[in-house]
Amino acid sequence: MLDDTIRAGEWVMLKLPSGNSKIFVLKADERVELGKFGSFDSNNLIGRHQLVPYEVVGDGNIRPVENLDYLQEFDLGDTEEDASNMTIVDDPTSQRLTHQEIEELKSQSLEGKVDHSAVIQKIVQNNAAFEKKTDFAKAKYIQRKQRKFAKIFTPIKPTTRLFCDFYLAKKPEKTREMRIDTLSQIMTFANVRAGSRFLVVDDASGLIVGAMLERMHEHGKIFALHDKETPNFDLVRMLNFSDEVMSVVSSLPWFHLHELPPFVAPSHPDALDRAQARRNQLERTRDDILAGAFDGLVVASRFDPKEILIKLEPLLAPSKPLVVYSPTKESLLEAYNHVRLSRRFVNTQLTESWLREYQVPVFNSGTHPTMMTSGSGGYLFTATTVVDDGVRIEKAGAAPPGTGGQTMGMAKKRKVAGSGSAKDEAANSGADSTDAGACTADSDVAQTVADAANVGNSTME
Amino acid sequence: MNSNRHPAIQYGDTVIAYVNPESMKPVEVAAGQTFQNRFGTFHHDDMIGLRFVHLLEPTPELWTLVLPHRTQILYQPDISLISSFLELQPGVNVIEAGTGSGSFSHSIARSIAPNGKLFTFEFHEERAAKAKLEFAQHGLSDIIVSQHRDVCKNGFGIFNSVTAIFLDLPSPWEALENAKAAFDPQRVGRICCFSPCIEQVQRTCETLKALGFYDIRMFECLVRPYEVQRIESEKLPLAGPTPKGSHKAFKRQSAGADAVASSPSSVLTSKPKESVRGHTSFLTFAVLLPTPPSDGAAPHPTAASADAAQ
Repeated sequence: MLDDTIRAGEWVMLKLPSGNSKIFVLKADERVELGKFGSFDSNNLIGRHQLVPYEVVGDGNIRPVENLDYLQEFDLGDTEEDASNMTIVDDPTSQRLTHQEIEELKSQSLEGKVDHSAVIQKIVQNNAAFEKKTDFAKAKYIQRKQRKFAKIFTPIKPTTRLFCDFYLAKKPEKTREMRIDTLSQIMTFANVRAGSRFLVVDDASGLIVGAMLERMHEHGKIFALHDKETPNFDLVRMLNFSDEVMSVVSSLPWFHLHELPPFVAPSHPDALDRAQARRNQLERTRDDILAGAFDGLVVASRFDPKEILIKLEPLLAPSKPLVVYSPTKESLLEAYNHVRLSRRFVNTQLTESWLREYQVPVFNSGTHPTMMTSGSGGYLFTATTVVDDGVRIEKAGAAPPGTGGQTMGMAKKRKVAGSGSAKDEAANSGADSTDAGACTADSDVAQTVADAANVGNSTME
Repeated sequence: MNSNRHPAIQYGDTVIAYVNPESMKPVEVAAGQTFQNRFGTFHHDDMIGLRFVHLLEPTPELWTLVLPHRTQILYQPDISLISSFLELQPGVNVIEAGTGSGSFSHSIARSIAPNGKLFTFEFHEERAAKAKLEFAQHGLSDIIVSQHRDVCKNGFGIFNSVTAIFLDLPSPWEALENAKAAFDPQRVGRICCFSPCIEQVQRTCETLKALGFYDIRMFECLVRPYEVQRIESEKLPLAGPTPKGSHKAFKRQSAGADAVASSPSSVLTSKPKESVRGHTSFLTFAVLLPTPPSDGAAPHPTAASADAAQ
């Protein structure tokens, strides 16, 4: 954190020209294998900056890549229909090097006897069709060869943003298909900040907890509920947090929320001390959670969100955010409805995240959206807690007469609060159950009030 | 909006008077003052215990929805994505230009507190003054350094010291050279340019590339809001004609409507809202790579540093 230096003993991700990545703990005095992209001595990377592309040179040395241009991502879809492409035909004989010669070059490159850029250059020079290509097609061709032969890697210190991209592509179930725009919205909606105290249900391998730690560091507390004896927060340990930051997180299994099992003392005295310490920690965590008054609740869980909310909602302080994520909309609807009808929440919103990346105009290649993209970023529902005025609706869609839902109740009260004129009544009856129809009544009230409020700017709408 | 909050509303606090998601208003609680909305007039002195409005603690997200607009502002989806790409977190030093209505400034301050600094610049004198006053009222003066200054003409006056820069300017490319000089050369620098038009993006990208910025990426980020309703799923009228006017029974009812909710054939539905925000701006991101450490650790110091394109 707040540092771009690669260190021994820390997790690091190496991005390879093929688009694949390798994530591991970098140890000193080690040979790091990159498969067909060669290998290097770990000591040559330790102490250097992240995000800089390095090329493997000679026997295990590395150096920063000089020409970054061809490394930049751009769309490989056939988008460019230049007239000069007319003369290009798909001809396997256009490469004058034989398969054997290329294999020979490759193995020499791997042994560090020839430079990988010399290999690519040779392949390009021996392609009879290369000169006929457009600039764009040339760049594409070279990039394809780079992906095959370049002994280049980019070390990256893991972040939750990196995990979003990585797992969405490789193993989406690990992060509950979370996309970066959605994760970042969770963080802002939940008002995650240093000094806060959060309750979290994270079944996304620790992605949520990790993202919160990135924004809180050692300031604050995070309490996480999980379904096994110990939480699966794989991703958190890969973020290289200090012990101080890690101490922000406490966790409790769901099955200990209602009550703890009786303490069984082990017979051996050493074991007793350890068991007692664990027990004390468990009791402290449970007491802290049940003490409530949390600054926010964030849920990204495999379990029913409505059940989770009914259990945890009383633990939130007033005027605090609730954020629930799911990759599917349907699994949120019952919970959403419950919250909407609850007198404990206002400002209930359900949104789907939408993100579109563009190819940018830096390669003479035009500006357009990328040809392939992620179809959905999943769904968020958010709300804000308020002080419960005592009228609680326990079950969604079963509101007893007179208590109504949030908007229904307000429509009724509006009649009482308004001037009671015929115009007002008409406005209300025509407004069905949404809030939008109240404008007429609104201006009516505004006129009846003599002393205009001296706040903010003009009127409500 | 800073972290030293009181548990209860006090005089001098800013609160958000909430009626529904489309109707909210900021109120600064002051003795003897009143606040008025469709339900009548409320005295600040009895702001606790109201039934028709809720008074919410302001967060940067709520503030974005209610703040007095002096300019086009940034909204939550963009703010969120930019904060992630710029890796805003406690202790980060950030530059923002221009300040505008201060929508994003509040969010940045929240993310970098307690030990980060936001240097925000606004070339419009009155706007700069208003924003400065607002930051003070919200207890953010320790984190936000607000300046009236034209950064395209006069630069930022900041060198070698930040890791994140956000430019919301009509011609961001004019500020890029100065922005580059403001980055800490020993850190990865991250920049975001926020422009509504594609022509601006093109000039920005070309300038970024010419100045040696790397990993230039561009996004559009929106959300699609949904309406949730419980509706009646009607049975086929096989026994006879449907009663007159019964087609109106299909009209959508609120999710909580009693009659529909109690019916076994009701179904909870969702559909995207009819009219939504379709475009805010294009977000152009780029990275400025650090210069290699000067301690000789690099066996082959080369031009891969930020100076490559100069």
